[in-house]
Amino acid sequence: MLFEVARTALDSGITVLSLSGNMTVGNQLQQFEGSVRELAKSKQNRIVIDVSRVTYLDSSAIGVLVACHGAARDAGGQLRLAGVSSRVSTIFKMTGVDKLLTIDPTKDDAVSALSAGA
Amino acid sequence: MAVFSSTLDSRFECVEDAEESVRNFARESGFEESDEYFIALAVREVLVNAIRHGNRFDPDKKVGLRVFREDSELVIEVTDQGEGFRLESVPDPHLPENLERPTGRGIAIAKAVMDELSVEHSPSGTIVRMAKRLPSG
Repeated sequence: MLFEVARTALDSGITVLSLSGNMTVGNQLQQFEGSVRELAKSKQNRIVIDVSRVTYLDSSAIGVLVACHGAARDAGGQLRLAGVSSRVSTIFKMTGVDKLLTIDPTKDDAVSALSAGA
Repeated sequence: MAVFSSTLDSRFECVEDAEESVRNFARESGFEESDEYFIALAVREVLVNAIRHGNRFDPDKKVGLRVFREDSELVIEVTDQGEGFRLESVPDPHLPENLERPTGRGIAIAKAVMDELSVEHSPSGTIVRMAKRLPSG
């Protein structure tokens, strides 16, 4: 099953990527990581990934989110996750990435934090 | 004894159906929906490891899946035809130096979800055996 990505470029220069569906191992994950790396390289390195409509994700998806986090940081920007469900949060804790990724309750919270330079 | 068994090709495309079968078996075994969700995830992770690291996508090698109830446990066995691995050699993804590794979190998920996880080696391959206590009542 594929997941969907909706991209919104805000006037502030922040890019919001809203994901929905199941994020699991496969080529689509690699394509998503590639597109985020391109964003970071193109100086659009303040990125929000809204996962509030992601119902399921596996360790491969976590690996991609971690890679995207690193790509934004290495480009001098920041990536923030928003809308993490209780179950996805549990999976993050199982793997320790809750200690690495920056997570906000909502997309708006993440946008506000990036706008404020948090 | 109710048993579900299946033989998968070494392709990621085969994982989803197998995962769904395990989820159904868990439901029939009395687990709640939340437990089904995480048990299915644990099985997904071990199947993906068997395909990627065990059989290395070799089209001539298969992954075996066997699910059954034994005593008061749900038991899941995943068999591949690879060279095997030692559980203690799997890096802990929680350690600071491993937090940014691109891979290596699947076993941690499976261990967190299940009550037991062990790895056995045999001449024909590797068996990852997982068990979770059945719900009481």
